[in-house]
Amino acid sequence: MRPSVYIGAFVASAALTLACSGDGCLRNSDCPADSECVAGVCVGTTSTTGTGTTGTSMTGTGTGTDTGTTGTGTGTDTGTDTGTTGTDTGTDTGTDTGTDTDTGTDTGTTGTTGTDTGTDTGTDTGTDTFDSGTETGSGTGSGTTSG
Amino acid sequence: MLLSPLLLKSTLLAGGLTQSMAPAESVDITARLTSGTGLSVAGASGQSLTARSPAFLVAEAGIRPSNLSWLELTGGFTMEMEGRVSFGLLGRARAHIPSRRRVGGYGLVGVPLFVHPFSLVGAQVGLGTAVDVHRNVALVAEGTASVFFAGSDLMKGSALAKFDLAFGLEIRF
Repeated sequence: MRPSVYIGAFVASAALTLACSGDGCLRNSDCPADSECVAGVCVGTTSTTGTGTTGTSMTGTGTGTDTGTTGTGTGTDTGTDTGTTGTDTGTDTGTDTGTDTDTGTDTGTTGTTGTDTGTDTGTDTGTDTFDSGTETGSGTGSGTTSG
Repeated sequence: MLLSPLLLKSTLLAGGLTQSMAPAESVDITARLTSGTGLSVAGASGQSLTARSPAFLVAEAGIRPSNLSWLELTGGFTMEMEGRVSFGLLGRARAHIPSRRRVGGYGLVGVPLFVHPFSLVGAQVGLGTAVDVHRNVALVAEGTASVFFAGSDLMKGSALAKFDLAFGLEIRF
């Protein structure tokens, strides 16, 4: 075989190989030591680790709907009625069994036994346990209701 | 030629440990140094990727039995010299076309095995020609097609094909 044939083959081989370079990796050894060839691309194989800082807490204002049902109070009013007693316009039909601490002077006429029709101008400080009249006074309550 | 005094016609006793065995057979010993490069092809994601093969160097030693002069069995080392330098072993069998002229041709089959720093296992076939420039020296040109189907250097799920052309020198002792 003539030398020109060898020279031609060499040149053709060199041209072919140089024209086919630069197509990504074909083998793991085409990649850096910490990478491997995956689908023609070098991909790192070293896992990464790091330390992060705690993030700041979030604040904000939101709106919401209360879907609860309103309860019914069953508490006891323990407040003090400081209002002024009004005028009792009802008729006292009960029997006053309290102790008469009347210190006034009875100026009426003594009638039949049992019934005093005179006008008592004293102050009755006894306890009336049968007052069925209507109390029209007003007062202010300051009690607490728990439900 | 400086190597002419080194011409050896080695004699190998094929058997010969007892008188009943066959008479001695002679073999020619050869050494070969070639270098080359070529085209590498690999498949990935349904497409073929190509690149120039790393330049390589092959050093071989072989034997050619006198009674089977068409056959040459060699073993040697190979080294890729570009990129990540690698080393491997190479076993080959060449079938020479008998010729009385200066130019001879042959076909070959081989098993390349890279062992460091990665591994590759493959098989190869090739054609070559040798031109005698001296009684014991020849220029050689060899084209090989190799397929590497196993080893740590391959992409996952991929094989690597190489079509290389090498030139060098062969010395026959």
